[in-house]
Amino acid sequence: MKGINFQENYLLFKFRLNPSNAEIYAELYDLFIDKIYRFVFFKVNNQEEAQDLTADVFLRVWQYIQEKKKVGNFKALLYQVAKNRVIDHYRQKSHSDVLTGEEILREIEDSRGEDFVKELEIKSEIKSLESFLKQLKAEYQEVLLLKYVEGYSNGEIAKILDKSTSNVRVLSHRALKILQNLISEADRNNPKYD
Amino acid sequence: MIDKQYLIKQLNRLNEKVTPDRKWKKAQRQILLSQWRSQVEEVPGAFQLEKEYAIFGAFRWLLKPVMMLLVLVMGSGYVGVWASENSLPGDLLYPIKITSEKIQVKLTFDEHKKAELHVELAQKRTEEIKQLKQKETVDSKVVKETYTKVKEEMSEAKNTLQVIKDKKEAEPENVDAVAVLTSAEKVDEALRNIDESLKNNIGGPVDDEENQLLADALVGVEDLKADVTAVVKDTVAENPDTLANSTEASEAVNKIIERESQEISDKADILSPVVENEENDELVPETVSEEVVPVVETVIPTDTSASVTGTSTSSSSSSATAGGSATTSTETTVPVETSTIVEEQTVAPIVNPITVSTEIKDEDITALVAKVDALLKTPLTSAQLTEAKTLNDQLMVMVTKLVNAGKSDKALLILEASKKLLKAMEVLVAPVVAPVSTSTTTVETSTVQVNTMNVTSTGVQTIPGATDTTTVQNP
Repeated sequence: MKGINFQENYLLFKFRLNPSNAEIYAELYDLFIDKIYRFVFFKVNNQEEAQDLTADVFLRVWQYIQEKKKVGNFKALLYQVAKNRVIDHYRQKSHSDVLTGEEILREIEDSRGEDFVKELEIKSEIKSLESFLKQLKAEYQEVLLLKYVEGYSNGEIAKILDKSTSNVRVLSHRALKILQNLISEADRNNPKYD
Repeated sequence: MIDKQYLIKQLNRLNEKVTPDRKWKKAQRQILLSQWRSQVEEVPGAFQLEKEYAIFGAFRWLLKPVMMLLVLVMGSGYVGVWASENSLPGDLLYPIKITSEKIQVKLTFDEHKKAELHVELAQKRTEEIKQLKQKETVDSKVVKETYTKVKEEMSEAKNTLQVIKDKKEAEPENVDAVAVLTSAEKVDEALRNIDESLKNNIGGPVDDEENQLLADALVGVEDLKADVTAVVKDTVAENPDTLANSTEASEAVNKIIERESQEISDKADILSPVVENEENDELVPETVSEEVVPVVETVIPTDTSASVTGTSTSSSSSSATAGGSATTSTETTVPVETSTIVEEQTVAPIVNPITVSTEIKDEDITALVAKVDALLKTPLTSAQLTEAKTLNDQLMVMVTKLVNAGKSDKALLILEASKKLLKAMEVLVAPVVAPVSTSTTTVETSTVQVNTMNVTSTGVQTIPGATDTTTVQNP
């Protein structure tokens, strides 16, 4: 983790001195592409959308920096642009084809058969965990993703999401609890979708 | 209720499970990079200066001790660096040398230059090993460490080559073929120097561990050489106009071909006395006619075409070597065989008198390559060695002709076929060569090389496949 942080800081420093250097920005792309992709992926329905939006995020951030000639908090900027980009995406799209949480669950169950959620608790398939994450409120989902998947500190998350550190702590605690309940509840309600 | 710690662990795992498609990532990077670049007007001079300034700045803020060293090295220590230039591993000044080299690597942004630099450094290390070996007292630990450094530099070079390859794949239209080829030539030359100084170490390896390190290093060289040749071949194939338009590029390619064919001929020469010996062993005690028949049968078709290609440039003296060496090698052993070949040679021009021109036909090239393939379809037997040797000589003659005719791209194809042939010959002959050759260390390592080469090449092939399956986890 420390090594990555050093690399990150070093790159960002270079970039700050040189906000118009595409090569350095490309290295930053390498560093952040997976993270931003994940961040977007949990907010959309499929891989293609996630890919398009992620690419667009990096382009927009670049344009933004070229206009302002200033980098600021690069990580926070990336995530904020990603967030806004996803919101725009849903505005453009008609809401009709966005599945609700329950629909997603039913869809998966249809394809998997009745024992799905039982299986889930035994194997806890990553894919199904994804679907539960997708059901969470954006705020909770983001905190969980940044904290447990990306491994950011509360302080870093606070900067990225523009919240206070204590707020992040409370949120992450609550989010985990909700996810826990969601999975347990799905298990209990399982027979309903027979 | 699902366990909280378990849930957190599952969440952690998403980090590896949910990742974008690698190919998409690479392609997207290239697309974005070109878009970003187009939005910024670069002034080359200022650009470079800025880059270096950025690095100094970064060191000042983030790595104070390194910055101090840098000041030492760049400023008052400049003399120190110069003095350390000739230091050897284990010397007091050696760390300064290594550090200054590392800085040099850090300051090199161009991938081609970087690959060259890594190979250059590997070469430096091998020369250091050589010098260490000449000293009266050598700490074998230091030697081994230096071997490890050779390996590291070469794997860095390999990685850089991979980056170049990836970039080429993602953005074929932006490839600077001339830069790729000239750079490949330099890397190739350095690799051959490494190969040579590794093989000619005075005293040779002292123990098994060192022997293994040496063998590893040689495998690495061989591996990297194959990579370079592949890059050259692809680049030439993808940019057909480059060789015609740039003398620099074609000179570079010709140099590589020249070295490669030199190496192949040398190796074939080491293998050829064995060919004769084997035939002697096999044929002399037996009744001649029994054993010869299959050999002659296999020889005839190749020799017919040998004289066909030979007659195509019958006026030039170089063509004589193909047919010539074939006959002399058999002449010493079996007189019956020689006579049949001579017969064939006199027949051949009558069979195919059309090809008497200095121009090289594409059919001839494909025919030669096809012959190699046909020969290698089944594992090479000792009975086919003569045939293989003759075929190899033909290939070499063809390479020379192609290079002279300015068709280096075709020559590369022939070289590739020839290398395959040689490898098959090596596998077959290697155990026999050992006592014949004068320097045992080189041969020993070359056999190790062949064996481990197979292992590494298959190993490398399986790994990407494995990662592929893990990354394609996305819905």
